Amino acid sequence: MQKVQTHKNNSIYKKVATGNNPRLDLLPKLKAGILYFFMFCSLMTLTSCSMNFSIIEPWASEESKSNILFLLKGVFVTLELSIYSIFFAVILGFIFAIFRLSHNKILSSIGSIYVTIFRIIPLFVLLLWVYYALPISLQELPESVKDTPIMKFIFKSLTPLFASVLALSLNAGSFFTEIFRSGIQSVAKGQMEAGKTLGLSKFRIMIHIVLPQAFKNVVAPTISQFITIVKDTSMASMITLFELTRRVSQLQAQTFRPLELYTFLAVEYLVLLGTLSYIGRQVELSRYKISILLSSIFSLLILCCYNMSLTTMNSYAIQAIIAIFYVLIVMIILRYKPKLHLANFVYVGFIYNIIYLVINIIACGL
Amino acid sequence: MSDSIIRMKNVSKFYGEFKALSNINLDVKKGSVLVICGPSGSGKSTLIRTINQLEQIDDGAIFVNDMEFCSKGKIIPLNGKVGMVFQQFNLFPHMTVLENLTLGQKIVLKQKKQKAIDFAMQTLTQVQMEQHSHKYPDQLSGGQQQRIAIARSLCMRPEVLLFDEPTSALDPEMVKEVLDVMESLARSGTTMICVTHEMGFAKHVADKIIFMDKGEILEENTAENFFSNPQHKRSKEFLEKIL
Repeated sequence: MQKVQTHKNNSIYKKVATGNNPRLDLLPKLKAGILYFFMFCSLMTLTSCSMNFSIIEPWASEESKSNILFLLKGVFVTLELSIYSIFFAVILGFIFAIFRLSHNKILSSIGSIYVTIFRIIPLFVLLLWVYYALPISLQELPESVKDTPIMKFIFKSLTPLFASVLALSLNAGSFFTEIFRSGIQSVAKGQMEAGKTLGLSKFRIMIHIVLPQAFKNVVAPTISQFITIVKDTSMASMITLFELTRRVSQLQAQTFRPLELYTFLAVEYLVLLGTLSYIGRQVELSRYKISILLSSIFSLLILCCYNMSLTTMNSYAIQAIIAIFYVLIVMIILRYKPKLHLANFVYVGFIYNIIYLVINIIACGL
Repeated sequence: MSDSIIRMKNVSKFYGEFKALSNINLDVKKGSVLVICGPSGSGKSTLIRTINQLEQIDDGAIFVNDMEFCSKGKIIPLNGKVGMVFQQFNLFPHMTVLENLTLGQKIVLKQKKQKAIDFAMQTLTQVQMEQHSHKYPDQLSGGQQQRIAIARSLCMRPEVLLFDEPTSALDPEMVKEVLDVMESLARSGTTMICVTHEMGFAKHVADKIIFMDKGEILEENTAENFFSNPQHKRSKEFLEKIL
């Protein structure tokens, strides 16, 4: 619990803005960081005694350097796919949760039909269907429909990435629908009544009273669902998307070193998801849950843009523009919502940037 | 033009077959304190919840300041004109006390932030809670939370304050601090309608007492007469049981 201090009454807003949340202190994070480091080191020592990682050590030879670069690019594809899927799944989940709770019978049945269908179809089947069956079913459409610009765009964009994002977000969206619905329903009825007696409209009650409290209840299951999504991206390797798992299997087919390569794959997922669940834990403990989650999603999106600019244009100017853009948006958000601590943005951005930097350094051959 | 602030005319309310309120006629004068008492399940809470539009009525009409605000199938938003204090406080747990108090002012009354804070501090002083303005509701005791809830409804500059058993969820030693605040509000001329089991408070403060049973008003009397010389048979029995 936050420690209570006696403030002067007129400086409350200032105190909240500068705030001092012991949860955000650096010390426990440092401890966790050291723990992670030791875990990683001991894992490495354990494995390296019987394994030979020379095929993916960047300093060993030119070939191994290109191998590790090949694999690390897969991390970005995995990240990209998970971020897009999380983004769309959360939106889908929120919309259908509102539908399910609506008093309108048509809307609520649309919501429950969506949940029933996509929660039941296995993700793997859905992936295969979207990638292999959907284009054929679209081909059956009459010529007049196929010639419209929208359909042309859809035909053009039916890439492995698009298909995986579609399947993953439809699948995860159905779980998010249930998570959000239960979260909203868990807010006590008296809260709504209190809002009503203050004269707030239904929309305002939802925004200011119900959703913030519902959010608190859905943090834990939402984070688990995030982790599930990131793990499920490995299935996209089956529809020829060159993400982490597919790259590792391909390299394995070339080098015949399954032990080292699949260990490397497992460690990569461990690091990725370990970070994610660690952030999730911090979010759960903090009083400022919304801000941390928002800022982490935001930072991830920015990182994704950053990565794309790197792979497509490789221009420092564009990277600088994106960095400035990020800082500007953070400033604007903080200007209107001083409660969303600057510390959160700094902290989350810091973690991502460190990961990014480390990967970059390794990728550039030290 | 009468000086009544709330007028109920032939109000009825059903839950399915069950008649929760039948033909209620009520007139609350400006600045007066009305106490509603009766055994549980007699429709006291339902009655004041209909005034606040938390329950819809099936027949009759409710007037606030001689304007029809509520009848069957027609509801005009009250915009906080009728404040309400709940048994379970219902403070917003994710906001500080001050944010609880300024939310309605900012959105419904469209006040400027500083003005809203000033008024909130003024009402907090009124309930003697000004030193707790930065805390969250879960850091306060039950009695303190209820006083904040009173301040929150005062912030909307209500014409009437409704109290739905404000002391029933409190520890005995905290009841007094809440009743003191209510008493000082009554002395300062706030119109109040209270559902309460605190007969001492009713005796002290109420201008008028209503006794209800099975959704009907059985007796309407001044506080003095009600306790010394109850008219209706049921209210005699009720008073014998609790006093």
